[in-house]
Amino acid sequence: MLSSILYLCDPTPEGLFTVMHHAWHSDDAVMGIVSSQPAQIDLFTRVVPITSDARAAQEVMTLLQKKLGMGSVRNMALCWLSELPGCGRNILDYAELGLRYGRRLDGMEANPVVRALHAKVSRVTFEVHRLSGLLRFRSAQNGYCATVEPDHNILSLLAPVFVPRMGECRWCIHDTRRGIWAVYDKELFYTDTAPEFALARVDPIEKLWKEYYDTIAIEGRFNPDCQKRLMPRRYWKNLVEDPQGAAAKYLRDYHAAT
Amino acid sequence: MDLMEKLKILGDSAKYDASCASSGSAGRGGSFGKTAVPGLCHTWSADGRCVSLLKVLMTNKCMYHCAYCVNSALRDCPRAEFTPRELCDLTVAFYKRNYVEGLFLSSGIAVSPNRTMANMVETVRLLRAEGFGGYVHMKSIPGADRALLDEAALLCDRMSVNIELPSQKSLLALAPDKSAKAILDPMGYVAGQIFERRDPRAAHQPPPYAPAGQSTQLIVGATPESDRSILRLSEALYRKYALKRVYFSAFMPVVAHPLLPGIKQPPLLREHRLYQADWLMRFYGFSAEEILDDAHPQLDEQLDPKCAWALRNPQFFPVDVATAPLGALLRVPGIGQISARRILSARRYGGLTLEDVKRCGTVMKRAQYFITCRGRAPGIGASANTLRAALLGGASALPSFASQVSLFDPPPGAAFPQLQLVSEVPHAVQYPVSL
Repeated sequence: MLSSILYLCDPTPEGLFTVMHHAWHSDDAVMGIVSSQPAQIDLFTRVVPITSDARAAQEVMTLLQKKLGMGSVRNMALCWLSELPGCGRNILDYAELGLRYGRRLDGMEANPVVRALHAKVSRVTFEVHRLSGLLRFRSAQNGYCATVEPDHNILSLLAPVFVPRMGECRWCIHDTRRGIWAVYDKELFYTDTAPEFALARVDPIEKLWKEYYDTIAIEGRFNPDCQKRLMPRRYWKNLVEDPQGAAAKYLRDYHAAT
Repeated sequence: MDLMEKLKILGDSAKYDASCASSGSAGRGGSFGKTAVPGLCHTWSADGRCVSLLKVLMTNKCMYHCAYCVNSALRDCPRAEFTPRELCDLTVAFYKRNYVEGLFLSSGIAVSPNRTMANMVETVRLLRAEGFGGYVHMKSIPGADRALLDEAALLCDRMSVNIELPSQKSLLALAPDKSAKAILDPMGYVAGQIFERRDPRAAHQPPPYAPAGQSTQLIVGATPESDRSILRLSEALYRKYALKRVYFSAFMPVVAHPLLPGIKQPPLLREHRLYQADWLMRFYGFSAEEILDDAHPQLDEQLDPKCAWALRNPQFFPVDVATAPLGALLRVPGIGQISARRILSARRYGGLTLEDVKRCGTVMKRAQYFITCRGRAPGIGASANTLRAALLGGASALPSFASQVSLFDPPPGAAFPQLQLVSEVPHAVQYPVSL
């Protein structure tokens, strides 16, 4: 056996568990799992595309759930949504360890495989938390519309947060990086086309928010480094307020006063 | 005056309140809006503080003469007032766009405490009537009727009263219209009501009464109180009134006053150290007396309070990561709540190597001088001064664990003192800590 295999599948958990089904039923050395065609592969790697199969995925999930518990299955799914390099291989190693140690798996915090997977899971759940706060709805025709550009594939975790928050109005969230939409119109669903109400319009409330944001920093505590650490620059472009402008305005006022 | 102008004035005068938490409430339901138990930050302002709630005053008109306050009657500044309807609509509009988690409502006292509080309660009543299920934090106004306090607590998630000055004497000097009794009275009343309603055996749970509890704020650096008295006061507040948080606010000179210090910059480092000490009391099982005693009335500005405690109490160390209970692990500098729990969990599946301890999230830069792992403990026997230098960054002050990972190491025990030197320290007896 000269070559090893790189599986290519859907970015969804179903795709992941279908691949695990394949991996367990084949004798080939599996190098990893990816959800997009890698830019570069070496001579000895073969890319094998796998189509999602609900039945195969369910079979794997049932088995893993029985042996490892629901928490570990959830961790694998979350790790897969991270789309971080090496997450596929990490999940396979984790599952293999899990089949040996069973429900004790997640307690093995010092194991490099477990720790690496938990770290990826934390990055995913942390981004969901962070974007739950940083996402901004803009007033649209008869509804609200938000744009996000998350590092990880978290739309399916982010959108449900807003169901109880937004009440009965219509809204949608657009993941521009992946070209997918979460739409709420009486119920929540995902699609790859923009809903017809997703047309932004002029909103006087935005001006109020910007003014308020510019007002609330305390003179004498100016600390843009701290601000950037807690709210990384890459999230700024989809905000309504302007952190850069607010900091500049602060400095202007400060120099004018002293 | 238009809404924009009002928002600017009343947002500007509310910003000196440190609290902006939206945590601790499971919420009360509603047709829209939901609280997040761990809290949620929506943005960060240019001073690095998180913005979670629309923090405004009902009005900045005030008849009191508190020397430290921007809204003092002594000051000449533009004054404004929201109507309850305006503020309710503004909160809903901000919430629906996901700018905020809810409302933080404080107020100056324009006419009487009762009038002020009634206006604030009316605002929140309107919000709840709209079906708003998000977070509301409201100030109790000292001197307002208890019926109003009850009404507010039934509508809000968190209540708070700011003590501001940490002693009766300072309060008398700088806030002549307020007394400690008037401030503590509403706090005590609400605390008592929360406690009375908390009966897990009750078949019918009563409606939520300030479900996220109470908090307060102390100004640091405006008056001569020591860190020790501030911490002791905080501890007493946590114990007696079951407060969820005590906030510290570094004194910002906004008004010139003969009794106030003429400083240019707020004492931010001191505030930071106080918060660290506060965390030690709330999550790490330390008492105020342990952190600071008569001989040490002020927190060390160079070292964090846990390191400072560790240097003063060498008899507690080293802690063996393989056997120490949670309370003991939590006292090690460099080990926090998360890493301690990971260590506890991981060591059930085998002995931990140094690499394992590090992988659990321990900050080895500090922890290495206070733990033993497989028989090695570079920190033992070193004097407090040497350790202090090492912790402050003098890398060569001590042999560190990192430098030991070498093929050509001397055998364990030859270069470094061995475990049995300290193995008689019975951890279980040493730490009266249960978490």
